[in-house]
Amino acid sequence: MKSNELISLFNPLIYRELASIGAIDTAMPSEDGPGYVLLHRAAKQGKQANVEQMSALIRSVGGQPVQSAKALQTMLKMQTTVTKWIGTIPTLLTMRLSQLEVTAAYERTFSKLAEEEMLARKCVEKCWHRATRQLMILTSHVEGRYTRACMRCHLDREGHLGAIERTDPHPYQFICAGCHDEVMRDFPPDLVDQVNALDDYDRQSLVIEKALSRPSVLTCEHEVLSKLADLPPDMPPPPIARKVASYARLDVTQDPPPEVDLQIHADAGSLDERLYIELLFDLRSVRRNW
Amino acid sequence: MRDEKVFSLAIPGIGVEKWTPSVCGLCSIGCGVEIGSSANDVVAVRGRNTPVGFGRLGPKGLNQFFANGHPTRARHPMIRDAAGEMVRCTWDEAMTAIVSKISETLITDGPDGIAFYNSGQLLLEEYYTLGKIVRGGLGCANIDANTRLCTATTAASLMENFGADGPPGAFEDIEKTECIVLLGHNAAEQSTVLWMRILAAKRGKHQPKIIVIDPRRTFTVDTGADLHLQLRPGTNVALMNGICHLLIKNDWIDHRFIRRHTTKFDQFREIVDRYTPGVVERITGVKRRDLQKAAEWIGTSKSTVTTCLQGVYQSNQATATACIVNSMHLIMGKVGKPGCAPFQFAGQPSSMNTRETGADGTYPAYRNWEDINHMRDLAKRWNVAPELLGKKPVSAPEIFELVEKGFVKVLWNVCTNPAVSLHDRASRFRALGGTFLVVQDAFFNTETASFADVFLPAAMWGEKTGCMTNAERRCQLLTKAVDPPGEARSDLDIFIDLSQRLNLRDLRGKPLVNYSTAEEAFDEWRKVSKGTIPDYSGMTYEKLADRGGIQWPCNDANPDGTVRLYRKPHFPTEWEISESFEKDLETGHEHTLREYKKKRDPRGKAVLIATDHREPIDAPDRDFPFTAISGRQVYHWHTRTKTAKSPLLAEGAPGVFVAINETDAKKLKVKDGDIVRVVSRRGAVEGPARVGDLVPERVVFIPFHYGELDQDTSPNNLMPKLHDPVSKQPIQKSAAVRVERIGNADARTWWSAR
Repeated sequence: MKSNELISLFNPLIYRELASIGAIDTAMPSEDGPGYVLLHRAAKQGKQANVEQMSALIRSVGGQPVQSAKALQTMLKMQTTVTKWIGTIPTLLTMRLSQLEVTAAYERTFSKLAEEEMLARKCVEKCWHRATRQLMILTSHVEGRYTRACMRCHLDREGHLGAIERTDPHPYQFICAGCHDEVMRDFPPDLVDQVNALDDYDRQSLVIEKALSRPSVLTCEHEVLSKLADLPPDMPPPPIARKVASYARLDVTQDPPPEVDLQIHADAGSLDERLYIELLFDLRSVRRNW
Repeated sequence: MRDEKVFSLAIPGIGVEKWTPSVCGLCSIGCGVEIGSSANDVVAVRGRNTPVGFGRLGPKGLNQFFANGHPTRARHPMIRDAAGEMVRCTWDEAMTAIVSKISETLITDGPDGIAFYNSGQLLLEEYYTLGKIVRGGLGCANIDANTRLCTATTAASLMENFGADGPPGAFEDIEKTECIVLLGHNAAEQSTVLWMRILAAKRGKHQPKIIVIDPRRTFTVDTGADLHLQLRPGTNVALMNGICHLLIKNDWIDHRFIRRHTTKFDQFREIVDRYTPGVVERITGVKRRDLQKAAEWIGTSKSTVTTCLQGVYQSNQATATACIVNSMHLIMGKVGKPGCAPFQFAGQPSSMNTRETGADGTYPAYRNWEDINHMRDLAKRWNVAPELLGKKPVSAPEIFELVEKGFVKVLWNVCTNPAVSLHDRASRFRALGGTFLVVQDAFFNTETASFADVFLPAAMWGEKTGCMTNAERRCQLLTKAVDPPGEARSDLDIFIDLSQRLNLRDLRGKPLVNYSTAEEAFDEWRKVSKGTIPDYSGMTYEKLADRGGIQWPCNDANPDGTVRLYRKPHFPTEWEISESFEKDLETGHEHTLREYKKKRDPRGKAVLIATDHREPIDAPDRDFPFTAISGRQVYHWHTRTKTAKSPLLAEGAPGVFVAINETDAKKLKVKDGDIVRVVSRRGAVEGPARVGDLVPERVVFIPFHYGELDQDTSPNNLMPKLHDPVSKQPIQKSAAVRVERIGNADARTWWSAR
């Protein structure tokens, strides 16, 4: 595919995503439910990643990606401004409609790319999958399957250990039971006993902290949300240590120190300062005592 | 200016042809230096009379020039060939390989696939440029610096109490105070010139009492402490709560200040009320009378300065401790006045700049990533799409976990040595060995460089021009004295080259990084910071050179800079300007903007914070009955990439040791100099035992500078993969261990040279 064809295929997608980000930015500040704020934030970050990914593709063929989507954004922002006053679900409903279109557009774009357009296909496939996962989350809430949004998976899944929810005096925090189970399984083996020995409250604090870390959120997206969105699991394989580090000993010389001209005059200081300076530059004394 | 001191070190027999004004490139004090050069070699260093050190220098500062001319300096780029060997290549080959890999990864994986891990030792202009490329150009959130291991907690605590980063005090408060508390700050080894100033002040007008709080009997304790509170590792919170308890109980507090300028005093008092001297003694091991004496000195002094460093920041409950220190000052009204400061310190020479410019993952000039208005303002000044800004920062521990899990495919490592400095080293080696690793450094043989796929040779201190801002917010100019060796380039030039090769452009289609010199970069930074908390708009290179540095904010209202913040105690906690929306100390989770606006916004008041003591997670038990702590030695800096190049410093501190209490040593039948093995649940360290009273019973101390790849010498082998929930700073000061004697003293060890 020629560069200009590629650019004209991808720039409209970027345009659409930029416009949706503007709509999310309109919705987020007035959203009362912190769980839903994080849902919006994750959606925004996914769209930002899509834009960056497609922009990189356009730049790689010498083009300039679209960086503004004012016209469509204005329309979507107006829509969101209206729905946000009605409530969370109408806002999500509007976003779902927009997300349906975006997801379909990715699917169409993917189908237009020939097998040999490897990079472009990988790019659009990744964006498409992100959009599909997001669509699944929005659909779940719009259909009323959940009444609250976990801050990790943005759903409210069941599990053995139970959900964790904290309110005042803390910021509101909610990790669903499903995420609780998954995060507990992800502690390093050398810490499992100590984590299990903590009282419930402290252990749950640790779980919340870990659950909201970027690695845990991404793991959830790739392992759990992909599956729920009927996508193939796409966790990257862990890196294989393919390099043997060439040993890099620091050149600590065994030679006697060189002759240097060291001058220290601090007579104007206090006795304490002078005594300290004497000790400080006395290698043997420091080595012996500290 | 004071009486000028003379601190100089030179190679005899080589005449200095030129003296170039600069600043020491080691710790965060930022002492003025002059670099003596002959031809293109640095051959001498001497102190310069600036308002920081007044001519003083420490041993590391005097010896730093040995690194410039060392044979291990990198002179040309290198690339790993098909056989796995690092071979010489051209700059074009190296950059093409990198750009191709970054572009491909961005296209196939998106911005989650790349990460940047930088330093606390670059120049302001370099951090700013890197941050702009990564945030504004690539839209990548995976950027952090090794300041995460150093002063992330400083920033986190200042945000929690005051609404934004920015240490309130100034070094001149040392000479104006009646009481100095050093909490987890071994100043005599970390900040030698600051310690000289403290010792000079001790016999000056105010004769401050000096309280040192540290589990170890340090050089600081022995050379200047009036009172040493030798607490059990991991109990800082209990001790500080105890001091606050006594301040309130004895009414050594400022009720008017509390009422007018702070919030949450009742909650604060409710918590610290529980920490009576008896309770504190049980938790910390500090005797009641010592705690009472400390509280009395702090409470009855007209002025108090408290400094914190890694003994707080790399310990259990790091941010909580630092917040209680800030709160202690607030309840006494000892903020923003001469001689009064909670001095949350910086460790590295320009770690302040990483935080200010956003190279640590935040957004430039303390902008709040959650606030769309802050992002729009930044986007306008950068002329980029606002929709692509505002991503939650990803901290270094998260970045390395992303590498280990395979999400990050390209890791660009700039001027830092995580193969030694990060905790749980075994997992880090796997990560570094598996990812596409770019290393940009002045030395080709660091432990991290040995894992590189592409190596870029960089200029170092003395070889480039730019600014560093020290721990008291003083921005100073470092002038290039000599050219870098071989084909090495300044980090700024490398970043600009990267931006051009990636074809990053702004909304008008102009290059995103549209400057080519450090001064032009600084001028853009002045514009980006104008009107913000760290306002540099009133500074110029000329002004900085004339005045020996200027403390920000420096603007039209404060053209000469600002000695201390919060002289008028109005704090940047309003939601419109706050850098953060108050995080949960237990989980690190932050309020949303709406939650903060509706429930938390203290509208210009500072927030008082206390929390209960919690035992470290990796606590001693029957199998691992000791606690290993780590720290520094006066002659070395970090992982010795620079200081080991000085024969004098290397002779002063040539190798690792394990300090153990004499009572424990007797029980274990360990004699001074015997080789011991310290084992934790995840790794081990071997080294000669130093038996004595440096550490209390059941504690061993190991310096953190060592970490050769083929030897078990780094305490980071022992440390668990845990970090503070708020600041994300790794906990590198406590691991449960056991100690085994494995042999007699080895003639090759450090001890043979005693």
